[in-house]
Amino acid sequence: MLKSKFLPFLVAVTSLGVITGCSNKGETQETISVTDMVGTTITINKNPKKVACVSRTTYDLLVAYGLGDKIDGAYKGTLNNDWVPLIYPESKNHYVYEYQNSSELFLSRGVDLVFAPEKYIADDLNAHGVPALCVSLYGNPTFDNYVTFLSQLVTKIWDGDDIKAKAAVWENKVTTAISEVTTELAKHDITKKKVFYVRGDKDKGVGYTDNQGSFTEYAYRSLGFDFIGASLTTNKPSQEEIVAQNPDIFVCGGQYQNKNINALKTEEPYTNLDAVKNNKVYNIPIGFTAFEQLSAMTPIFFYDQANKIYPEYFSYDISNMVKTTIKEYFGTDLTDDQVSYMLNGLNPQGGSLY
Amino acid sequence: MNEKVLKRRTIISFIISIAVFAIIFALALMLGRYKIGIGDFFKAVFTDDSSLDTQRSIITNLRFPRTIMAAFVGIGLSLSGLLYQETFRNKLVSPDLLGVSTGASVGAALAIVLGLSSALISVFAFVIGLLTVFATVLISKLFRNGSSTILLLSGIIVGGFMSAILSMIKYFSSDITTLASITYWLMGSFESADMNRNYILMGVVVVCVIVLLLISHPINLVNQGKAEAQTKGINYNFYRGLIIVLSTVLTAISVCFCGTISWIGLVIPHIVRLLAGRDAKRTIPLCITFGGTFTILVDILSRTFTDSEIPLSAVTGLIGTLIFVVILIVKRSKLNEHKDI
Repeated sequence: MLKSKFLPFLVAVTSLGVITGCSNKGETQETISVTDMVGTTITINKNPKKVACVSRTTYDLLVAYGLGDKIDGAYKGTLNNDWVPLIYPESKNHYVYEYQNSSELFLSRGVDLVFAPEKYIADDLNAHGVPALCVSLYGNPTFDNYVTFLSQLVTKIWDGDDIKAKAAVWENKVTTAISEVTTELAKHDITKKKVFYVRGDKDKGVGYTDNQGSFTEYAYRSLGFDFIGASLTTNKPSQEEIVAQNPDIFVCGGQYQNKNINALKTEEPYTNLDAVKNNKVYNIPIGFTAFEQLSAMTPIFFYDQANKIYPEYFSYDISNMVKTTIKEYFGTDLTDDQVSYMLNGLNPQGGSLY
Repeated sequence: MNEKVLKRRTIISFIISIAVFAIIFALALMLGRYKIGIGDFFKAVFTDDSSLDTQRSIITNLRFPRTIMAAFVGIGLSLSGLLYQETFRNKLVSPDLLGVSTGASVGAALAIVLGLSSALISVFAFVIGLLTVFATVLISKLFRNGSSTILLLSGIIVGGFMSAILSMIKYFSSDITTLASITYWLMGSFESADMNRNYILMGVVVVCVIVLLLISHPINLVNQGKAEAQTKGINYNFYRGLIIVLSTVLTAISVCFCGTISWIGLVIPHIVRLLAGRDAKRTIPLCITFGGTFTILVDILSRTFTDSEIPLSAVTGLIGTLIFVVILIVKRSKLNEHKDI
């Protein structure tokens, strides 16, 4: 009785094993061991074909390196940007992921690698059979050793001379940009200024910034600034804390940048601050990705900020750089108006991004 | 305890609490993340010295409005807690008894998701807070039983339903734009305080306080139960309804401007009763000064010692639980002597 019940089940399982074994015989999948930003080493298939870019810094560089067709989807915050479909029309085919997604979702979509934004998310996915690497927005203790981390990780995971060449060029451009700007600044006797970065990627007002370990902290420190967020214990300082810090310069990024700039210039007590009185409130352009996030535009981020903060020493042709870079990495031609909108934190039609 | 002793104690407590209120209020204007020396403080407030524009702006635009709001929210929540506890003859009920805070939270969350202005967020919170209580009362009517227990159970049912709605709104809200705002609102903050909101808050609280003081005798009778109140010749149902309406309005107006703040409505009435007994003529004035002072103190703590503001409910939770433990210890020793405390 028992035997007759289990016999069909036994046959089915055996058949499945035989079928699976047969199908694997023909494909010898090459694997590679890689270590992510938080030090976790996992073994993954080389040249994955379906990648989920949940970590928002990963989508831009993968597309820029010509790996757009290997992307299954990206975080909704990345895709929910009017510039993305204009610069990379294929993005419309990409699945829109939440920040946290179930393992079953990735498995059902056949995703073979996830770039996760946080360690606990990557650990959870790996524990449930979904290969995941943590590509965080923050380095530990600083971002200094992680600027080219993702670029090098991509060249390890995917074969291809074209990818390696693009990565080498990008890494060289980043290093050159930082070197050029800092070398020029070193020639002048510049008093160290306090800069407050307003994130603006979420509608949280002026009191939303980055702290120690972020790319922005690394970037503005490299440019010779005292990055106020590095000394704060929170990324949401109160109004009074910002006033107490009395920054010399405000830099505003993200899709809500113009709203925040307007608040700084019109609302008390911000209007009494030195940076506002001295008209030292600057924006950070936003295109395929916000320029202050690690992306194809990272070298231009340094040049643009140098131009704005030190107009007496720098006069880079940012518009031309943007046009050339977008064409080079994404194959898209932008009009002069579109470049101008991008540099002013607007959408491709010149309207608001939020 | 002897009425004379309680009366004398109430008068002394009231005078001291007014003085403490004034001191804490002044400290609230002086203290914060932005350090202002005493000399600069007085110069900024009483002169036009342009070198102190920043300090003046912080005092007048940030600290003064939020301190006023803290004071009146403290008064509103303390009084509503006191009235609910006395009316339902249950010392452990809070101002959210009939679901007003949960309803207000749903209203605020809905307004945030719809992208409405902060003024409309307050309006939504206030209106849906009141509608929730209305729904609670309607459900209790279904049972055709005027007992407080049925009203309490209806409050639990409607509160639970509104909590579920709130969870759904949070689940479907965008983590980029609205989820953080909803979460932050729910934890309570005086960050968005301004004088326009304060005028509305003050107007409602003052009117409610005047009415409550005028009906303090009927409140005492209602607190003794239906039979006792009717024997003394008052319209029990009318006064009980009026007290519930006033308490609900006080809670809704407080919560709609600053989010939900726990413990104030529970702790302050207990402290006040410990000092002054249960007579509403004594407890209402003390709730005003104690509630206002306590909430201003909470606001100072929430904004002075860290880079960012600590949510109010976190501060009231920490302080409130400690105070409550002390109250229970004190009450335990007195319980055998005075069962009415």
